Amino acid sequence: MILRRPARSHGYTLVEVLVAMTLTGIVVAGTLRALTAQKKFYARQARILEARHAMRASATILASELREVSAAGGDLYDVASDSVALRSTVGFAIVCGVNGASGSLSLTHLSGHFRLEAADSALVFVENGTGDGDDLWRALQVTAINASGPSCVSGATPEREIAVTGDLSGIWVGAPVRLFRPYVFALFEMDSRWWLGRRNRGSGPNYVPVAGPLAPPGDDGLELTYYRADGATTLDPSLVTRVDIAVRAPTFKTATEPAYRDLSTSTHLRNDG
Amino acid sequence: MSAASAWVPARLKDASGFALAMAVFALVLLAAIVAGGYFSASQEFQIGRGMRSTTTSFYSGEAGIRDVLNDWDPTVYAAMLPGDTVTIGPVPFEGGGSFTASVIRVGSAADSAKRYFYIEAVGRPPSPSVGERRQAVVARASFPDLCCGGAVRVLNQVIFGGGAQPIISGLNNDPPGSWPASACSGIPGDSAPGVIVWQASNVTDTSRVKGMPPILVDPTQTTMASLFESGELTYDDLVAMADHEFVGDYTLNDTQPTLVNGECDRSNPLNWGAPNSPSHDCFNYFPIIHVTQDLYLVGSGAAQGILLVDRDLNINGPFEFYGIAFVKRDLNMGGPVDFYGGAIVGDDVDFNGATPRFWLSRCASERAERLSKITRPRLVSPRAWVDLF
Repeated sequence: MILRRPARSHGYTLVEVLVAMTLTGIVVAGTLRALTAQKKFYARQARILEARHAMRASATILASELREVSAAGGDLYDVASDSVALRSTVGFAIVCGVNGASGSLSLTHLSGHFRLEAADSALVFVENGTGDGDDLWRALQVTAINASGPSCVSGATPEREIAVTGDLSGIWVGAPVRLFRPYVFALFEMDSRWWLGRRNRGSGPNYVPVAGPLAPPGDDGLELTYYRADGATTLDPSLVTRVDIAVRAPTFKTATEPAYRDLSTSTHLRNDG
Repeated sequence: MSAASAWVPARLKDASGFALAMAVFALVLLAAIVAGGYFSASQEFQIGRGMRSTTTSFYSGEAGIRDVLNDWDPTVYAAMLPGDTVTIGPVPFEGGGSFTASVIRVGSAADSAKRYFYIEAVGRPPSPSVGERRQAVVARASFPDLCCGGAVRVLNQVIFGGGAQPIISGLNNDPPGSWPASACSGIPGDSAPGVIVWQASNVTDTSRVKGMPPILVDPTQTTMASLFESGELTYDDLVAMADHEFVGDYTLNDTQPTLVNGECDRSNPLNWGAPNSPSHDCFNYFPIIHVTQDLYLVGSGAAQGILLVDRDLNINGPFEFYGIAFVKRDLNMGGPVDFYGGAIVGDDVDFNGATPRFWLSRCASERAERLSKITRPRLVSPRAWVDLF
């Protein structure tokens, strides 16, 4: 009996090809699915980070503004659950010379923005007598801010001179000066999204975005709650001692179905003590 | 070659499959997912750490300002001239964080009675974190006007005994001798009544009293409370601030201004300042002394401060005192005594011996107020605080 060797095989069988194609399809599909999931994961994380960043920025800006106001001193012009109008301190300095003839103040220990486009008014501390009862802050219109000016009483060179319109009597060397602008903070819509915006209270309705995007007003994008010293809520600007700030930002689960993240903080007004 | 292996097709013998490639690809995919998660987590971690650092810095700076205000040393800060700066720190806090503060006197010599201080604190997080925050307050060093409306305000009698040349003068006198003019500069020098009583007949010899007027009658001044509890600070408030307390009678027969490491030793209860040595570090030290019974100042010496005596104050010279005395019962002065300042007496004033003299001195009494513990920094109100850029 002669044993014949089978013919040498050079191709793939149909079954082998089908198996290989199936396996490859499964692998490719799995890979694509993993990649798609990863892309979604990245996008979702990015949106969450963006939302958190927007909320943190909004809360930080509002807290910083509110922390510096004196409610009893009239720095809160108007308060509402979704907006606040206040004196925003943009610069701080100490008077080192009172120049009555020229109607200006020489300043030292500057901090902040000492430019006319940043501030057009100043609050200057007026001591009058040695007691506390007659102390007051006088609001003066700033007409010019100069890089140099009359020397300080000590003979030192001032860091700035501000020309003001108003009464300079009772202003002593050493008095603090706050440059300010009246600002309104509220939500406003731009490019179909909602932002925390700021506008000059005295010059029109146009807001400038300062942080966002946030949820629209109907979805509680910004919620401000004002408290008196006894813990009761109030909308009387002169009685506010604490403000709770709650912000909400969209993460958009889908284009038409926004999901939201929330952040809240509480700020005590520090300048009424 | 075995017979079985001879039947295996050649492609099946090919060991170079793509398992390795698949494994590498899977690893790459897994790494990408892990990297994505790590990226998100690290972003949050960095943001969280940054916020923690800035929050720590902020509250360190705020605590620094409170520390400066709470530890206010009138002797140090009252001596500052306009433009002078005192730097404190860096001061670490338990658990991390630190602050450096600067106290700058920002007033002028012309308004020295209204001394403004700009206090700036820089808070820092614990190392190795970075990110500092600056904040500042504006404060005034203020003190209540304790004394006394005149040289001596007394509830009952002013008795001039047989001594020679006893005087109570409400005409302002800057302390003579070694006091430099700068010690009294900026302090108003207006005169006042010599004696304030509720009826003029309580003064036995009006010729011994000078002032503008020599004797002022205040009909409301009829009770101890009207003398000791009518001001911004009551007697008990002052007792609570006392630097040193002596229980029972106490006799001081030698003044001992002492130094420790070149600085005035305020822990020594026998150190009652160095009024006759302007160059001594204790020249600006005005202790508040409380004695629960009688106080005797005897021998040859000099002292300064604010005296709170629950019973009698007896001064037998030669002795000099500069400051303010609150005496619940009698003020007895005998021998050569010069008292510069003012006094409030809850019973009688009795002068005996040679040249006991009481001089109203705005300078001595205001220095006692300004340089003792009763001077405290007070934030201008409102809007004293500012978050600096």
